[in-house]
Amino acid sequence: MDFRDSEDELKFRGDVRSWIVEATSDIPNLELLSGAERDTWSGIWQDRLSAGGWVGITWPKEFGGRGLESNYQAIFNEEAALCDAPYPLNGAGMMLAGPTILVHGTDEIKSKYLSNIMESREIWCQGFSEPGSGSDLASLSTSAVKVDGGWVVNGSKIWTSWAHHAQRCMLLARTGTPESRHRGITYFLAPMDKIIVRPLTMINGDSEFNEMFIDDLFISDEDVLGEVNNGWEVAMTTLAFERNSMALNLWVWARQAIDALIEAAKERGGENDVSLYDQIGLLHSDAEAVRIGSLRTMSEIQSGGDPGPESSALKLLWTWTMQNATRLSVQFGESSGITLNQPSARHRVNRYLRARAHSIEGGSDEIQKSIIAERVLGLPRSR
Amino acid sequence: MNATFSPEQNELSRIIKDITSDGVSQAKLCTPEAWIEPSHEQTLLENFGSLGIPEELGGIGGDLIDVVVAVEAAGQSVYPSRFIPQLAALHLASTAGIDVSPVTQGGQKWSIATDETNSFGELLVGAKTGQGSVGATKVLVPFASDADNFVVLGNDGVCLLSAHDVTSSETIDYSRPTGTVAFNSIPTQLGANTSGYLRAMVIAAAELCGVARGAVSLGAEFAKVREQFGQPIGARQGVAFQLSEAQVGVKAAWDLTAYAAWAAQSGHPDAQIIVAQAKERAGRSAIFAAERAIQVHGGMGITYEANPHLFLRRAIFNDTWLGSGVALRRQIGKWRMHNWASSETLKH
Ligand SMILES: Cc1cc2nc3c(=O)[nH]c(=O)nc-3n(C[C@H](O)[C@H](O)[C@H](O)COP(=O)(O)OP(=O)(O)OC[C@H]3O[C@@H](n4cnc5c(N)ncnc54)[C@H](O)[C@@H]3O)c2cc1C
Repeated sequence: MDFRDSEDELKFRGDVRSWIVEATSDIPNLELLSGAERDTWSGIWQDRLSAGGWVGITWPKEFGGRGLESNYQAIFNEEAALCDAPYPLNGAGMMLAGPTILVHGTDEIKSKYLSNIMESREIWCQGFSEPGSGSDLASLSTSAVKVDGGWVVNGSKIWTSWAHHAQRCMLLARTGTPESRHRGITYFLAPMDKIIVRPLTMINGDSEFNEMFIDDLFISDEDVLGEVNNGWEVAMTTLAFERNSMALNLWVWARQAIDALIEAAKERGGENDVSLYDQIGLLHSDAEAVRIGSLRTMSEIQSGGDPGPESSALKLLWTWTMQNATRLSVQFGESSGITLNQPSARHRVNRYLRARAHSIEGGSDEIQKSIIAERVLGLPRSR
Repeated sequence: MNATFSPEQNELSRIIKDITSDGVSQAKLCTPEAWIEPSHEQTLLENFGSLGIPEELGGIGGDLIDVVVAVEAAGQSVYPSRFIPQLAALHLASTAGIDVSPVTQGGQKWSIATDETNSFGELLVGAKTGQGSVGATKVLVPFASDADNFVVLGNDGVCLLSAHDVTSSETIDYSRPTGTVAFNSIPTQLGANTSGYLRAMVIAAAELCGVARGAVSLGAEFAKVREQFGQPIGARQGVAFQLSEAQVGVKAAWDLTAYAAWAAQSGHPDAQIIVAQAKERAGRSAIFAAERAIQVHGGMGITYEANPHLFLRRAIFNDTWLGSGVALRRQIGKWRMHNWASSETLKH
């Protein structure tokens, strides 16, 4: 057992790090910016990734990628998080849509979409969840009806991150009977120009995600990814890539949340508070458990295993750490923790409120716990 | 990166689980008055009693990862053996350069004497100060009453001593008898290297990992068969999710412990903190898991008839022993607040 990078990984990490340090040198502290300004930097960052050849790290060389294993993408994301790089505007395109198209796409689909993602010409979003179908995604009801040459889609989607910047959408719609559940879903690559996008404001004031209204949208047959009625399997591929894309950055965010807590303690004269030591000690162990667990999951994947439900445990531990650390950094300051005149207090409150989403997004805490109950502990299905 | 267990390590785990499979029923036989030697004690000690001690020092070899794999497996059934504490004693001794052949070849029984009353993580007693006789009182010394020798940890070294006086003390865990031991003699052997203490802590953490895993699986097995309101109780999320949360702790503890074993044996500059966080987490996970197992068992969980209490006892014992979780959390937090910036390796 060895927890260190291999020689190749170490060399790659070094290259990545020097590139990122250089490429982020003119980027201001994003937390001081408005949401719109942050999005602008996300767009600039996306273009820099394309120019630097970092978009298709795991893609085959024939599509302009580097042809590397997924651990290299994870190392890139880890280094980017450590350097506080912006979130790439086309994260959904480069880490979800592109890899899913590589698995399920025909040659025509690949040539139509991959180079646009590679060059950051087309921004993507993920239109899975609906107002009536969140955790129970298989119950979705946006419908696609067959017409000559394609499909006509009607319905609505919600919580679609980055839809306000997107030109393309990974869109799930029902093509089977209303009761067909996961057997009657098809995965479309939908144009965004005729979809109405309404931003939703999150509890911390940011607008990361949206509601989408789809009214008689025509999608041609060529833009079905995978087989008709087999969209569930394609969607599961996307969700697996989504988990992978966070393989080595969750721990960085957990560590940074504790750093921020310590910064708050020092700012407010709490650096010798033993009760704070006790709580930070506990949070630090858990953040380290996220880091080590992530390294082990990565190694497991490298050696051909499937970590499966293990990633549910990691996500839960990460969520608790984030939520507890960000809450404590607000509470610890007593009145100054919740008074928003100071920019530093404002960030802490923002981070705390944003962290509430962690137990919902990407599969809620309750869904993760039921996955562990069923698949690790062998308990009867409870949902 | 290759942070996976080898096929040999998986096999080792299976073998130890086989040998210790009746651990729970054996632990159940122990009372405050009498510890009963478990049926496969000799097999375990003869074949694995010096695991991780290099062959040239009289052990059977293997690394510290092998050790945690074996210890975790024995922990799963709260096996009431001297195997684990004696292994901790041998690692503490041999790291300090103390010759362990009296145990590995001579059949002696050694125990480990580290903890002191109210020391809150700081050892007050020196092992080799003055080079004359060492006077110390150690608590929570496992199997003290029939140990031939004690590996004693001081703040400046490790020494091998025979006991001046042993008072057996009843603790929460009957299946691991302990004593308070007074020492007042000239060490037969001593060494300055105290880093074997980290190895001993890793061993205690590994046992806690096993206890946590065993408790979760005990709870889950019961939740599958016990029916109320016409359904297995495990089909209810109020029951199932307690065990899922405990399982998250099992994984966290085990990942940190494997990492701590690796860090301790590879001389990682932050090994002390890495070991502390494993021990702290493992104690927390084991106690949580055992308490959940009791809760899931309902009224039976509150009786001697059912087994979850055996797991809670071992969990609380080990959480306290070899560096209490409460003290470790505070040390880690203090270090994180003040010394983190200088820890380049951990920051990676
Ligand atoms: C910040 C953020 C970004 C997102 N981005 C996207 C995106 O880009 N694309 C996209 O498609 N979706 C996105 N989502 C949506 C996300 O996937 C859903 O919010 C999530 O799946 C939960 O669905 P829901 O909101 O409908 O809650 P519900 O499913 O209605 O759940 C409500 C509550 O009930 C609990 N619950 C539900 N079912 C069960 C059960 N069987 N057992 C126990 N408890 C249960 C849940 O845990 C939750 O606490 C995003 C969400 C957030 C918060």
